[in-house]
Amino acid sequence: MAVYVDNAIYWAQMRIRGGWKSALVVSLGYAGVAGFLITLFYQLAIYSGDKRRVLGAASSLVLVAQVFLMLVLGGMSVAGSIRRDVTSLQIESHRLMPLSPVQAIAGYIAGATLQVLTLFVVNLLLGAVLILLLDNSIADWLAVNAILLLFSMSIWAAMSMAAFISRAMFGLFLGLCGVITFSGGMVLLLVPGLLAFCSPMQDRTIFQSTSFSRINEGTVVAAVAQVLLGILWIRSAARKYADGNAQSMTVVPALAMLGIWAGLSWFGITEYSHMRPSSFRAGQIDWRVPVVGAIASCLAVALLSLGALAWSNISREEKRGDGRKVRGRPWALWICVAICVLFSIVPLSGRMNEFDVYPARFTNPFGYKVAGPKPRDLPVLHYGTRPSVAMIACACAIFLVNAYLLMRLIYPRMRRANALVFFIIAGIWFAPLGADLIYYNMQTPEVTPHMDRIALLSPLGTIIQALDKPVDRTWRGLSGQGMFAAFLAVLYFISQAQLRRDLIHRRGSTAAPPQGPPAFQSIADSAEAKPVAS
Amino acid sequence: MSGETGTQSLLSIESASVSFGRLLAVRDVSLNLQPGNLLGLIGPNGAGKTTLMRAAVGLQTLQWGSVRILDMPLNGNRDVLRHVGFTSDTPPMYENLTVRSFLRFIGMGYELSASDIEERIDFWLEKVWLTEKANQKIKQLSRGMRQRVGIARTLLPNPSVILLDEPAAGLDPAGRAQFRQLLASLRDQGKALIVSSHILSDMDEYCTHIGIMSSGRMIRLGTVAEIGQSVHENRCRYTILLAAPVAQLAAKVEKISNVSSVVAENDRLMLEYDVGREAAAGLLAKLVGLGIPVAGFSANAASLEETYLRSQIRQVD
Repeated sequence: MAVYVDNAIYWAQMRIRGGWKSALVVSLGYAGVAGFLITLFYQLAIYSGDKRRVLGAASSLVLVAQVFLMLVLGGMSVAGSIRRDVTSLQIESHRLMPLSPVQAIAGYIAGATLQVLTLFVVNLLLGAVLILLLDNSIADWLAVNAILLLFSMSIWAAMSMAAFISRAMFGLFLGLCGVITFSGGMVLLLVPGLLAFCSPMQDRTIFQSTSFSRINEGTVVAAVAQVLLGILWIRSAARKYADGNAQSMTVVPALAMLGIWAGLSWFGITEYSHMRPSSFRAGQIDWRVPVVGAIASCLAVALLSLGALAWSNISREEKRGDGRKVRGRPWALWICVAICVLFSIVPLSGRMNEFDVYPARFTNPFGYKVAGPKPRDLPVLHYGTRPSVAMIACACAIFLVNAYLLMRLIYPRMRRANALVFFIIAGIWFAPLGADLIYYNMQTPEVTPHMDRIALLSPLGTIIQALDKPVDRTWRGLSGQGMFAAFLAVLYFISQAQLRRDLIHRRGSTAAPPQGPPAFQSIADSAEAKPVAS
Repeated sequence: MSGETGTQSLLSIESASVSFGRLLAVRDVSLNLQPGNLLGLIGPNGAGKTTLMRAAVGLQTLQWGSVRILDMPLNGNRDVLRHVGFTSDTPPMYENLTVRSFLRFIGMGYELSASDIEERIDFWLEKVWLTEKANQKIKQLSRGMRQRVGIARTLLPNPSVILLDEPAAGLDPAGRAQFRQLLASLRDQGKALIVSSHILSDMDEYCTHIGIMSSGRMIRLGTVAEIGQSVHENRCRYTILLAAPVAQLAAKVEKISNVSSVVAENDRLMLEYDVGREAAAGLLAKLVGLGIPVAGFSANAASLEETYLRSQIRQVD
């Protein structure tokens, strides 16, 4: 309770938005307008005899408003309140208070979303009335709102962290929401970890008013992941709150996040047939797509731990350059890469249902299930002709080493290095795939493009090949990736020598004795002195 | 008394250095403030005064060195923050809150009790002459009034160590006079203060110590009297008003032995010469002897401003 009652940041954020009085006025006004409109249409519906449709549409609208409120407005309020304080330097005034950083972040989230939460309650009540009028299950409505509330809170935690890092992160979040919305949830099929995390979009999704999602295994796993990831994100935000120059996520929490994500990806693949949105149930999907998506998303999350390690090592080297004693840790990179590779190939241990992979075997041309053996849950690798886990692990390891070397090369030289690293990695991943796509479209436009030429220079190309039946060229592609790593390593060692020279130069300029009269000691020693100086 | 042995050090900075990339903003600065010390930090823009103050309260990461407050290390120790107050040159505030609400928020941030908060708000609003503005929104206040709110914000938790960066900027003359009294009273209460300001004439009045910074270095540090002596030694600046302009004035004057730093304008001449009444009389006689029509002759007082100007500090561009 201390977080809400005694929390100065919560109090200030609440007061800035007009306090409880304003929240109640807005909520009551909103309830009045919404209630009036629903009553109006309900009366018209009674007159026209279309009562159920109007009530159904109204409940869907309330739910859409609820989603908009919680995700967009809530997320923007949290990020906006933090960004405003960061840019106005108000955050520095907060940092001088003996308030614990976690408490401060909790204050930001609770204070900024106060109005959103009161409107959430109004919508919950309005929806409940509509559901009762429709004779639908009120328990379903409450479950839907509980799912949405928990999911939104984890998003708010993510936004609090993102707001401390950069404005671009907020854009990235909005972009992700836009991609999910405009693809109609299609992107969730490509990234099983995201599917397992986004509980509102699982199975029948919360938007199907006739059969709201119930709390099932997927919802519970998503809820646990949302809580765990939320804790990690709040911790990261708290670190940035305490010290603007600190890394938001250090190596161990970043690896923990990767572990959670790998688990979600594994679960997303294993429960793929149950969890994917019902609107995407029909039609066949290449079984390699979710697997490659899962591994690629794990690799993307692994970049956080490598970034943290790169920054940590840069800072250690600077300290060493300053003449301070810092213990070496030559194995840190290799241990980190090994853990990241292990987590990244976790999705390979998932199982997929035969029906999802070969629906034609179990249905007739009219789409009805045919008699015969039941589709089984088989290990993902079972569907490949001669899959090679070693090759996938190699591709992951080489990519991670490449990414680490890129970070070490770019971070000390640029202010916004992450954007450049992001674009280079996107190039490494997708440019070779695009090249093969163009090549096959020009050579054999009638055949589905294979990813077996230039695409093999991309870790994704290698993984796609290695999942099924790697061609001979795959090893050559992998060698190409290795050679790029070697090139980066050479660049890295050359640049290290230069950085060391810079550090020594800087140390030398600092160590120089102060110019001007040595007033400091001599004045302090004089008889009249009020000794400011020691 | 600060000079006595065994007196607790309120703020101790040892070999502090702060860098921004390749730029070293603060270089190897050490100082030690005891109860009743009021250190005035002066120096050109970009000298590192603000950075040093921010480092002293933990808002700026130190490249090297350490800061201790009441003999406790500042690093990661949030309880120490109760004893420190810092106001930047443009104190950040929540524009939509009233003055009272903003200060209440600050009191809550320092975990003060509700009754204590109200009592302190009334006390400090009176001290900074803002009692009538208590229920006005901050966005409606003038710059000077905001500055006062910033000072009240800093003093509300009753810190032992107070750092004020350009606190008098934006204050009107009456406000500056009241502010000087306030600083003097805080100093006399046994608090340790660092005040950075460009209004050197004011600092002469309330500072016990002066630190002159240039290019990140503390080039002079000591009591006000000591700083004056260290620069002036046996020299004094003289200002001479002329009855009429004189051709090649500077060249003529420089012929006088012991004269230096000659600046000749139309009907005004400034130069440095030996200190003392006899030396002044001798200088006047020599000027008259050279045929210079002296209409006015004055030896400049050894003010802080004079000291600073004579420190030959280069302006940082």
